Amino acid sequence: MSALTHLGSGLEAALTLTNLVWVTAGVILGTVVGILPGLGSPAAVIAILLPLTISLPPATGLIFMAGLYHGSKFAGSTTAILLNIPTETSSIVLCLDGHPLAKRGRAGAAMGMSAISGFIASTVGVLALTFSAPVAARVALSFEPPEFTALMVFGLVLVIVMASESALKGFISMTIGLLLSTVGLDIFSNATRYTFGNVNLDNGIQFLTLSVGLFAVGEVLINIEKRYDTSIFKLPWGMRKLLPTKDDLKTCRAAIAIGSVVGFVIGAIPGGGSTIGSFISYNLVKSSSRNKSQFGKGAIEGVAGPEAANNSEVGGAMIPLLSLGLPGNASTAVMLGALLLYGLQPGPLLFTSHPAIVWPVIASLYLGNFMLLILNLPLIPLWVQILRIPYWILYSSILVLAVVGAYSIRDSVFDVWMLILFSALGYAIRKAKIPAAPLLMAFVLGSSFESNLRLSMILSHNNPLIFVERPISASILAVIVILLGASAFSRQRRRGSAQVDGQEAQTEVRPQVGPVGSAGEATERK
Amino acid sequence: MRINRSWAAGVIVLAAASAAVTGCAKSSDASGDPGQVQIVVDTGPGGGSDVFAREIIKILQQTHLISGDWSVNNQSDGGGLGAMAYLRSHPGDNGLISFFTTKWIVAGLTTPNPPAQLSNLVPLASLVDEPEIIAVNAKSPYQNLTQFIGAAKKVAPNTYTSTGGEITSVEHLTELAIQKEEGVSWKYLSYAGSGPRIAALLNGSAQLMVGAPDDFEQFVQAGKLRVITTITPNRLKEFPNAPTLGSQSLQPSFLPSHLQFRGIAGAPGMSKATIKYYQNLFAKLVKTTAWKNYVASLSDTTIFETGSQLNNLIGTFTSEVKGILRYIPKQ
Repeated sequence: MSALTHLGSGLEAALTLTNLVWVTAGVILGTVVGILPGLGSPAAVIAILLPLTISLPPATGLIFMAGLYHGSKFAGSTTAILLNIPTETSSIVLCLDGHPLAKRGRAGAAMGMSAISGFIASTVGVLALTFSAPVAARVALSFEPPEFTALMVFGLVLVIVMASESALKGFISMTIGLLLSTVGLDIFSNATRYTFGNVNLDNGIQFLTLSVGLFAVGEVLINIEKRYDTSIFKLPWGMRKLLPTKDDLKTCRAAIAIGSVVGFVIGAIPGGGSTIGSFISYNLVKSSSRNKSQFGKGAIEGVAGPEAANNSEVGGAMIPLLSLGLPGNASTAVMLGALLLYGLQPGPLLFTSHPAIVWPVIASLYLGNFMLLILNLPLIPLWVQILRIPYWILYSSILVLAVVGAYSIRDSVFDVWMLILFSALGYAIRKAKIPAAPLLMAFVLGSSFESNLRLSMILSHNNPLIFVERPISASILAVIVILLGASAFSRQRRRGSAQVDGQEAQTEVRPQVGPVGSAGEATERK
Repeated sequence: MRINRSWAAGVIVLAAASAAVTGCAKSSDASGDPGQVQIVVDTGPGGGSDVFAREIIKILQQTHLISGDWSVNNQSDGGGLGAMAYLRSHPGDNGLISFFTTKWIVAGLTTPNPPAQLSNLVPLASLVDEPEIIAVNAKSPYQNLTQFIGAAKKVAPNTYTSTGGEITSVEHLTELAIQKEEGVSWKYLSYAGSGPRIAALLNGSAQLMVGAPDDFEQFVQAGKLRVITTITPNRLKEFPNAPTLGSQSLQPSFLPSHLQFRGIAGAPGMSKATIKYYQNLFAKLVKTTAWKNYVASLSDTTIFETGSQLNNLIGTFTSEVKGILRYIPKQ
């Protein structure tokens, strides 16, 4: 039980008044700065406040950073739910049900569920980190390019499966996303692709310009076509109606459990990241729910599952970061930088050479989430009031925030132009009823898929059998085949039952309308 | 007509916000001490150059050589091209400097019509020379690079695999120079960060890796990796059992004498007084104990050069590296 003793002593060290003050400050600052798109991703918030962090003693500075991380992550969920702005890749899935819930007057419930499921999942993540770090680090290393390729294919297949309304439109959306992910400098050949000689595109398209244009501004453009007196957000009065109900918590128990486990496991794989974790958990939650038809229209489980995955992933991501020095995402890359600035080299000796710092940091991840819950749960009804702002003011503000956010990514007007371009794309695909989420997910997964595919081909001398010869990648591919088969079967069955329903409806309607009219015509005549 | 009014409102807001942000250009100061300074680096937050810049700011502040808050501006596009282009687009800005690396020179040479090159900026001083070392998995049978090359020669070409950064990175160029000199070839896995490269070495995807000493130090101490060669004039005290490249008679003729060094460059049109200010400031920095300790912790060597000696350093690297660049495989 030495791991538990270490965690206990870590909590004890973290629970000093100074550290508590700093973690509280971190949560508040993280939430406030994180609400701004452009500055809002956890990585950006931590980077902005890095000079302040490293001026503090190591344990306190890293604890402050944990507060910032959780605060900005919650702010990211807030903007995704209230304004349909995913400030980081892992928030994309949250937009699918979080924002529709806000439109139905349940923004507070969605935000509350995000905080609660995040807290529960964080507990799971930290405990799993404490007890399984050595084993998880070994398993993480068994992921080589073929395994990553199979995992990315799994993610891309889920993109199509998720677009349940129309697989074709999902495929179109995914293809655009994959094409956009190829823009930039190819590190394998040093060739620039689709950059048109513009150095601003050498590192590819900025995620934020694409996500804000596609989701937030695209939605604003669609909504301003509607009449000013149309109310978009229904918001109930009274505190109780602005928070999750007991029924919500009961409904989401399985979703939180699934999200917590999936998030941790995927987070522990270096390069796995929370994006694919939240994505897989969303699909698992959806397929195991009795409430499938509500997903994408405002299912509370669609918020709880991915948010749980997002938060337990933090515990998982700490394993490759601390034990191998492998950052899984942009946020952990900045944390790695902070550790280096403190003179701490993450690696296999960090746990034994600096236990006085590592364990308080792990404990502070948990503490940060606890403070977030305490501080932000009562403030949710206040945040939700944003939606009471007349939407012509709200939407103008979103446009200003979007432009300023795009500019502030790297002080470049070019990104503002890109934002305008992607806003037009967002508007166009909405008009064509093509879902935007598959595009964004494919964009995020595309570059990782491509580089791992090419690495696998280099390793195997261009022999594709490498993917089926290795047990982990073969298992993932087998799951994909089963998933595709199940999806095709369920579509077939749905189509079959729809045809039967249609025939029954025609038989019932025909005698009422008479021999010359159809059901549709009858409705129009009425 | 409501729709048109709404659209018009949206367009006006977008245009106004765009106009507001484009008007945010920084003003410049013509005095010697520029006051607020922004350091442009070629990596994202937490990357090598970012950490280097923040470490220098920390030392400058701790040693009271500067009083204000210097900030870091991450322009990570194109392996230095984005950073150079950013500086080039701010002529006369005395408060804008960058910490360049030899990677920037390579980026300028390998990109058709580069938006900017180091020669478009004002090189102020060189700071450190960074050694490269070669490591294998601790379970590997090879104790030095000669043994590895010997084993690679006995099997079919491209049987073994190494790992490193992009195809134009110093790691790949070093390996390429060795392979060409020795008439041997192995495969190369490109990864953007050093973390996945270490993982590839640990899990056996790759059998060899060129990197900086601090990439390997902890793993060597933990008995997971072994350093088999250092590309340095003398053995490194951190890896006493690793022979140098030269001691194995493996010094490729076209390997640059300074493989990777870092320096400071300013925006074009920087005033002479400010150039002098920075050169004096960094001359003082490299004499501080904090700097010496930092450089020693990375196994780096201070090479502080200004003026014509700095130009010679850059010029020599440029001509030497061209010898290897012609071997980069065309894809």
